[in-house]
Amino acid sequence: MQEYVLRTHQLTKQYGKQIALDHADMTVRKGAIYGFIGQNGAGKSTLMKLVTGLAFPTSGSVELFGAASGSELVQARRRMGVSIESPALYPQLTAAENLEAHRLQQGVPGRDSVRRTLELVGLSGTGRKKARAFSLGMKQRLALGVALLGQPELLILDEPTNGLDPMGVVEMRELLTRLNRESGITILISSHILSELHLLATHYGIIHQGRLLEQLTSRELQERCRQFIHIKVNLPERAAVVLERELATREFEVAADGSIRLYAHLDRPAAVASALVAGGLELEQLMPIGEDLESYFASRIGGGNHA
Amino acid sequence: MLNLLRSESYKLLRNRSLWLLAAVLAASGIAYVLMAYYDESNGGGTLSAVSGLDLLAMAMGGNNYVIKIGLCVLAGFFISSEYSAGTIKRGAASGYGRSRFIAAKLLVFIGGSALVSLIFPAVIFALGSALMGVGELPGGASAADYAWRSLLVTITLSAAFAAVTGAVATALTDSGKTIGALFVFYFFADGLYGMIGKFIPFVETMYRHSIFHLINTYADPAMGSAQLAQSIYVPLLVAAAFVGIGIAVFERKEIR
Repeated sequence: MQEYVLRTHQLTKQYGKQIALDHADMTVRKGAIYGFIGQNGAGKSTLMKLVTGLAFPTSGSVELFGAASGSELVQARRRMGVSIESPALYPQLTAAENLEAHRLQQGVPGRDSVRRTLELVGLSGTGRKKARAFSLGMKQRLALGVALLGQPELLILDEPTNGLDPMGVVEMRELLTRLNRESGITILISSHILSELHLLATHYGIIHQGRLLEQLTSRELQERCRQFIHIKVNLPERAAVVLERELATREFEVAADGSIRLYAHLDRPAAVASALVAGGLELEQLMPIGEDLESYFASRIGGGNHA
Repeated sequence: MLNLLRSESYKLLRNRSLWLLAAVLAASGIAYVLMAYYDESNGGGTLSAVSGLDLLAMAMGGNNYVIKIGLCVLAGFFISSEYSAGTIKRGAASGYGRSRFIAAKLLVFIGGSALVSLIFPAVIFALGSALMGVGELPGGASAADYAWRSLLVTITLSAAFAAVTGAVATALTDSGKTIGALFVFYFFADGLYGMIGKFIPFVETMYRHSIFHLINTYADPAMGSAQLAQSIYVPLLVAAAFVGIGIAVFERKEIR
């Protein structure tokens, strides 16, 4: 039987006449890394705020660790760590002091937990430097540290890789993966860097204009992302003729730059190459490619390119 | 609740505006006493006509502004800044009830405010008494009674103003708006009550029992026991009411 950490039931949020979230039914399974994908203003942060209790639903409900209402739901929120929108830090405090304030609030025993958390997020060398002097990347890491301090079972992270340099992104991804695998922490993460989610998430939710369009596992996503063979030759028009005559397929597209996407014979790239060469073409590139998350996402929301 | 109070106290004690305010008040108190000491026609000293009690009475009058202005600034930086920095989200999503979270914040703010409000009169009375003697009150009233009574009423009134300020800061969320709105309100409250009281007698009666009137008379050495009692229970009731209002506002507030 699947154990759910978070479920929303017909969750709706309306600001005036604008519907920010429209009857969303989200399910996050225990141990999952749930990648939450959507354009700016799609409703990702709204849903996260409703789950964390920062905003109140117009209708529908949130179920967290099986608790759906009242003080049980409030107490269930102690089992989660949160970083929503910009990193929420006390600018006049150091990294250690920020963590200490949160440790006292959460009643986490032992001051050593502050030192361990600083090491975990790579901020143990920041000393007396105040959080206001931190780079955005350092602030993101400290916000993650704060979220992790109470040893949460569920981490809710809104765009946690914003402002991180490429190495920082890799480190963040590795850290989240490790926390998920070694500590069993369930993670709900939103990001506009879809390729990042692709490398991290085990489950996905696609939201657009307040509506949760689809939820799927990474395996299901792989199956649905369209595969093709990318071909680059010296004479694309002739290659099209060869593909039609020799391989008996019209399942291909010739792009403006002359590259060809072949959607058939995906398991026979060598045969495709032989046919093209035998047809007198100079083969420059031939490689199997899967449609990435961005393309799939764009097709689901109806053609947009940016999450 | 204890965890929340500890966390809020930790943050308040590391709030730069608190220490800056405390340092300015202490320095002002010292400067005030030294100026009074050296400004005497006989060159100062223990023969001075001004005593620690006289200075305390004067300091209480000036402390009126400290309680009003100082606490607005402190609220701006301690409560409203939580919204601008986004840290209020951490608290509201921390798994404590919203009422407990904001109650802890307001209680710590009130406690800190009361201590800050004591600095100016306490420094002046202590230093003034050391340099010029404690002095005597007219009619042979007890100097010790006046001193503790003054400090007690300072605490209750500053608690009341802090609670009002804290509730407004919770509602307005923006430090600039909080400081600005309360500055205007506190400075015009007396005139406003007076003006409306001319037309509506009940408002005049209400004003006479309000913290705005009490703070104008709280330094009176001739204060009777009835007025003393009123200067204690009215501010405490106001503080309790506005902590309740602050909680009610925060319970219903969407945090963006």
